[in-house]
Amino acid sequence: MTVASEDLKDDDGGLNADGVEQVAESVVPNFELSEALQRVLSWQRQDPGLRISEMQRLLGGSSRITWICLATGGDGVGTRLVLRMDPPGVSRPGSLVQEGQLMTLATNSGAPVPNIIMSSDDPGLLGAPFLLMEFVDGYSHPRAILREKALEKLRPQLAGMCGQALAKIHSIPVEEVPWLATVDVLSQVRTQLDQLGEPHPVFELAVRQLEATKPQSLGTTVVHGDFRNGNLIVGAEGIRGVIDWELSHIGDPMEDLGWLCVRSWRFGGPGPVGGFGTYNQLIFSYEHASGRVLDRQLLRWWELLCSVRWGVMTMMQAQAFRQGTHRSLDTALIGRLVCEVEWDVLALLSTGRKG
Amino acid sequence: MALQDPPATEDLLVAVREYLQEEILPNADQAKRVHALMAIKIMGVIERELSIGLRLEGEHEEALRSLGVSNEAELAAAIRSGSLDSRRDELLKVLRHTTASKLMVASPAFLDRAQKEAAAIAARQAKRADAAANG
Repeated sequence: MTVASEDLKDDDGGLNADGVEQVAESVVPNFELSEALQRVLSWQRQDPGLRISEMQRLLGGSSRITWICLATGGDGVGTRLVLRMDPPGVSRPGSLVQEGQLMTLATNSGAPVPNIIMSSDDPGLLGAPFLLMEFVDGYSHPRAILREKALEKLRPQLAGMCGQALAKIHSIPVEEVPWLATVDVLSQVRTQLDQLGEPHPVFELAVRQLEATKPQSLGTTVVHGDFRNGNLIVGAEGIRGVIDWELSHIGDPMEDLGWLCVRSWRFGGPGPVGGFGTYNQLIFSYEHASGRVLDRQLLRWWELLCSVRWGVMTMMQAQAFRQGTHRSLDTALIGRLVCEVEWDVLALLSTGRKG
Repeated sequence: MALQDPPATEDLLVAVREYLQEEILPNADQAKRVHALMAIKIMGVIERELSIGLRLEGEHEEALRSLGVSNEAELAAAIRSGSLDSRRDELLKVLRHTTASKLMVASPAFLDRAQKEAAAIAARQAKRADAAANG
């Protein structure tokens, strides 16, 4: 089965179908990278017999390049690894090392996160800054999470598990991640919308309503920034890994809950939480695990804000195509799909006013 | 009559789309396949825009006029100034129509599913209201 053939049969829109999912390319040998990683890792592990093989690239909408490979030690024991690298020419010094540090802190706080093996800002080692972690086996494809028979018993519990994982992520001590920027999503969205200079009356109305009904903050915590169906690796017993930490920042913890409910991440599933769960499952488990008190109306406000945020993010990708900074078929199409997000925002504006 | 000889633009587009669907797609590896599908989608957008775009533009202009504005930028500015606050229901109706018009061209499958979902929710609510009235 391929993502592509499934999407052809089951076309429910572009934004949640092609653009954001990862597809393993059949086999793209990259001997140069294999050899470089082998040198670096055998030095780090003091294992001259270590061999890297089966280097495969994952495709996807991510701004990072991701490889999977097999590391076989001198003792013959094999471990699957995931290598994340900045794309050539796009160097964000330190960010991958810091991403790794944050993931380790998240592990320490009890959240399910892949184990970090090593990272470096030095482009001399592998050609670009990198982050190396253990491969986590399980289901990560959003549609598999919604449909796979092996996960049938898990699905009704999954939203609750998301609430628990988020509570742990939000318990990471803020003072331990001084490099993370503080983001007020509402003012960021307002600024970005103005900078894009493209009129979107739907988002304008949403921002106006959000500003008029701004709730009290639940506090200031680490925010994952992209916690959703698609960035979870799941096994029959629960969440095995929360991945893609590149959008993490400091902010209101409700942002992660609202983002998880955005309709694009339901992939056609019936549950408002990631396609698999109910609002109450998420709210109750998060309240219980975090000690914070929230309600349906607060979550609705954040779902609306995060939906607008997603709309603005798609507009920014569309602009990257028009300005020529990122030309590809998916960035060409994405501008025309902003209206899918507008539709979702309108649905929230039409029903959610009284609470 | 048109200056250009036939085939018409629409027919040229269909020829390219059919080539992508019948020749490229079946023989593409996984990475190319995703891009071929994307290209086919884009061809579909252009075909639909050519066939219904003009009608939708006309409807859109009329809807904007009903709110006293002549383009999207003016509508955005009016919303931001608060001058349409008292006409919220009317405004939402226009916005829904505009967004649906964009979806008809860009993503008709999304629109179809979303409208079915909305209808199902409305039916459930009506049934509940009915039950409340009778009980």
